[in-house]
Amino acid sequence: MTTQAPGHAGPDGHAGPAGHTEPDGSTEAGGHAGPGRSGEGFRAEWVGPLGGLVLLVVGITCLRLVQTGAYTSYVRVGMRVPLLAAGALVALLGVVALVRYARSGGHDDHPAEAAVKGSPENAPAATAGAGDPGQSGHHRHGLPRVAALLLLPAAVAYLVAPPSLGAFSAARATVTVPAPRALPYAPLKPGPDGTVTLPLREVVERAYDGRTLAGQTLRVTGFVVSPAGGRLTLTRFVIRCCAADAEPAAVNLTLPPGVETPAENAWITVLARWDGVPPSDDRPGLVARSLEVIPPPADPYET
Amino acid sequence: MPTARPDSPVDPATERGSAATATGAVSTEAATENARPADAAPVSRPGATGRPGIPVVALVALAAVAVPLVLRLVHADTPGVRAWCTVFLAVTIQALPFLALGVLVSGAVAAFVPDGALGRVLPRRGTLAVPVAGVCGAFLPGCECSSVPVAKRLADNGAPPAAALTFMLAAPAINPVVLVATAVAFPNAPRVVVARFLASLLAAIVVGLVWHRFGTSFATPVPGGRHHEHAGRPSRVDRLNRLAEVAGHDFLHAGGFLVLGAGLAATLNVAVPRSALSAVADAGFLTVLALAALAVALAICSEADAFVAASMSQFPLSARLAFLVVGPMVDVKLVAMQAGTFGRRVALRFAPLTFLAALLSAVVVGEILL
Repeated sequence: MTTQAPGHAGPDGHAGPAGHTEPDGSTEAGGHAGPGRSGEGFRAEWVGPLGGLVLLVVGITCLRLVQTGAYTSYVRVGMRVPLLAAGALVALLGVVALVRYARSGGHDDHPAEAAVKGSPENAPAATAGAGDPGQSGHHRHGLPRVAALLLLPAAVAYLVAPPSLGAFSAARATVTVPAPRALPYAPLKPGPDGTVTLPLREVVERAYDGRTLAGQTLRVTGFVVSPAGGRLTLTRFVIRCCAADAEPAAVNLTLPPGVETPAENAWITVLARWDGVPPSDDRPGLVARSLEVIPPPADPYET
Repeated sequence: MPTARPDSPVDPATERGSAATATGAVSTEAATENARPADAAPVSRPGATGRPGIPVVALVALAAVAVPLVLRLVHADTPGVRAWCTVFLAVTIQALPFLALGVLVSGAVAAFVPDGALGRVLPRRGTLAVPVAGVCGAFLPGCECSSVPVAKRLADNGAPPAAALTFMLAAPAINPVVLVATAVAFPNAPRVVVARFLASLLAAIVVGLVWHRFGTSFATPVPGGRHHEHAGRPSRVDRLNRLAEVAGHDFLHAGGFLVLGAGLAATLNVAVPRSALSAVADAGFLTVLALAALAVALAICSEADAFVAASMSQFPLSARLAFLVVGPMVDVKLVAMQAGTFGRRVALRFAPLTFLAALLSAVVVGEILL
């Protein structure tokens, strides 16, 4: 707070924070965050045309991920509106910075300072500032160097476009599904075709209770983990926020005889019955009646 | 740079004069300008607002393109790389809306809250301002990515730094959204919600008080101060301009470090199999420590961590409480953002202090309540 007292609150004796003065406060702030901005007023916070471009790229990438639906591979479907809002805001901030740059006639400075620098009397001062590493006009604005890192996720999104988490991550996670919640479960009502469509997570949860699953034909969808000789682990990740908190819900699936075992990471929908054995390792057993290989679903995660 | 301090008081006046007349007060302006090289010299200071030339930006941009290209070449048969990319993007994208909210609040504070007002509104005594700021944290309904830029802006505006830090620590853990999520995740153990609230608030306040007593300041005199010293009230356009400027700057700054932290979190997420934890599922304090460390490594959003904690049913509740209290305050992503926002030296002292306070607070509260 010492840094602030002289500059702002000092004269009127209203230095409210003066009581909080830290012994070496000014030195600390000066060494780390102070000088870059303190001496330059708010111009230092103007991010300049490069910053504007980065903001625009980030904003557009975000909007694009929502538009293509690719965002569901990374976060919840429910993030659609927040992502649209955030993408639009960030892109707008970028446009503002770029318009401002264009308005200043291509000068990389705040308009007011551009006027000052333009005056011949000020030439020596401009030269004095040229000792900065980032001269050539770019030392004036507040584009943080680290901001360039923001291009990395955009590049990964466009160039790699990684798919949703698959067998690799499932094999390395502890299979943990939230302990059964609202027991007892309501009875299942089969649809017109006599089957019940259930999220894999719910199959696992209901298997603890058992009673509601018995005798039902279940329609479940997931991806294939460790397929071998007519058996596989049917898995689907449950996410609460994003893929970083993904946890697999999995069942041991026995395929019907004569059906070709699908490849790892293939998405399948199966009609199956619970084998009636209470799960010992969070993986109930299902016996499949039929199997269909499907394209990856629009929403690869359960919530 | 203590030498720069004496400039600050005269600077605004000088600037105002020259901005108004464009040619007036040239001599003073020149003097100020000459003082600036010293002022702006430590451009290379660690992790702070550097103002680099094109080469640095170009190099990093090049790397930003080259890295994914390499990843693309190898990723086809390297599922680990693919999983890394997925988690990396997931953490970044998930944080984006919250970061946007944070910089919007930060910009609004800079544009609309008169300079120094927060310092006057909060209790004069830091020992009182800290708890007040902690409770105020309940009113920022975001996760930890929002609160970092807001805290810096609060401190710049005149709030005591210790109070701003307390706000930053408390907000992501005790706001209603997170508490409701926690209640939903632990339907059969409402005490977890109470314990999380109390332990988080306690830890935030303890850190704030310790920082108030021993810590250092990181506040930057409010750049907007000049803005508000203009004759008359700034127009609405001025204010919106200022908002956009601050929000853009803060987004680039915090966002850059967020990406850094997301990369680190993705690496730990992919490299450290969660099953490794089962070994310490029942080892007393070691279990608590392990889950606290896991919270640091995973960098899960505070709005989701309760569900993850709920699912780790092999661990005792007290250890999971530590996970919930430490996570929103210290994780790799946050430490990267804090180092960037407050300076590396501040973060190096702040992060261990916070970890310790959160851990002990969770143990004590867990002992009493769970």
